[in-house]
Amino acid sequence: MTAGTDLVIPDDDELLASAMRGDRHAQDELFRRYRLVAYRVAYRLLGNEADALDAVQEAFVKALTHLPGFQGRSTFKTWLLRVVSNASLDLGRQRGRREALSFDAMGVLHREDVEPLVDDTQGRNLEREDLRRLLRHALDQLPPAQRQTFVLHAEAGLSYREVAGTLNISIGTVMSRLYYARQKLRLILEVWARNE
Amino acid sequence: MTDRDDDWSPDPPLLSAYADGELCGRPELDALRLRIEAWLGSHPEARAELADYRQLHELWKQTTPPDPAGPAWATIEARLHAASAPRPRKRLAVGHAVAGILATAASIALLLWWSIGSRTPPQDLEPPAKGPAPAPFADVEVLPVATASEITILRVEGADTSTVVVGILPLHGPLLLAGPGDVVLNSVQPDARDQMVPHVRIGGSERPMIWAPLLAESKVP
Repeated sequence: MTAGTDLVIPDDDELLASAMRGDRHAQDELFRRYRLVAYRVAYRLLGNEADALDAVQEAFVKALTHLPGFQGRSTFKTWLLRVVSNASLDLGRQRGRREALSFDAMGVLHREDVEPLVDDTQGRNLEREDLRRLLRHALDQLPPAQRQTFVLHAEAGLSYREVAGTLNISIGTVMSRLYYARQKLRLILEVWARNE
Repeated sequence: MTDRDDDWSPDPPLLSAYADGELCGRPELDALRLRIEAWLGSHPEARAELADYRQLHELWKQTTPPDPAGPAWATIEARLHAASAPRPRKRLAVGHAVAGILATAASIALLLWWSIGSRTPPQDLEPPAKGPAPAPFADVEVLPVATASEITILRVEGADTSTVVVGILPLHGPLLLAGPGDVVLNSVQPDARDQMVPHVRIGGSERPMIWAPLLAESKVP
């Protein structure tokens, strides 16, 4: 038996340096490393697999062809996720995917009048796909900037500081957007829970 | 505990950040985190709000998008390769034609320049520039310009602004600017100074807020 060779996994910086020199293997590895998180962010913003894959493809083409312009002020992941989320919002606008879902009742709801958020029993009884669709409709009601901020935090797991760096905004703005996004999502879900 | 401590409550976005664990693992924020935790002990409504946040988080995790079908990644990878592949060089014949056209154009331009130049009196020519031309804005100081999203207003004095400020002046801390739908107007009472000070309620409590003056208001005689 021969001695095992050490498997060296290059970090992002090494991959980036190679990819910038045109190393296709490095570019492929960057794609494989971040395609899933990119896809999930795009899916949350667009609501279906086909559009999400289109956005991911467009974002990676942009990112990889503009690698020489990457200045390393953020990580590759946060830079890529900015490209992905912007591509997703653009694609969503182009395809006019916003579905007409009326939440007229929201206008008369007051925070103190409503029941707590969806309770566990209701959550268990809902099929996962129904839940996903419900959340997607709720997300659609948010302004794009709030939606993008919320998805980057909740889906990609970026910290407030990372979201701020990704979107080039202050941490205070991240805090504010996340707070209002949550408040609106809660209201929308509460309306749904009342109507169930 | 002082009266000041009794009156204290965390801003809702700060509470939201606390729920997200943003105050953990940062020694400089330990005191703030402990203060929030002490405050939560006597505010069950805030604890219920945090429970709602956790429930939303759970709901979010339950609905993680399904991974795409197997060949999807291979298809995209192939398209990425195609997009990054070097473009084939144009045929030589086309290159020769372009070079010929360019050479002809250059010859004509040279002939015209010589023809015009020979008819122009030398004294009308400007003297040749000595050294590089000065940059047009070399003596102008370049100031960095911030965008609106890069600015956080930390304090507003009553006399500092012509807009109508709601809340108790001076306002301290980051100001949260609400959008339409975030605000419930309870009543509007005229004020002796600016004649228009709305009372604003968000989530059951009064919050500081800046209102831009309305165009319509400025036209009222």
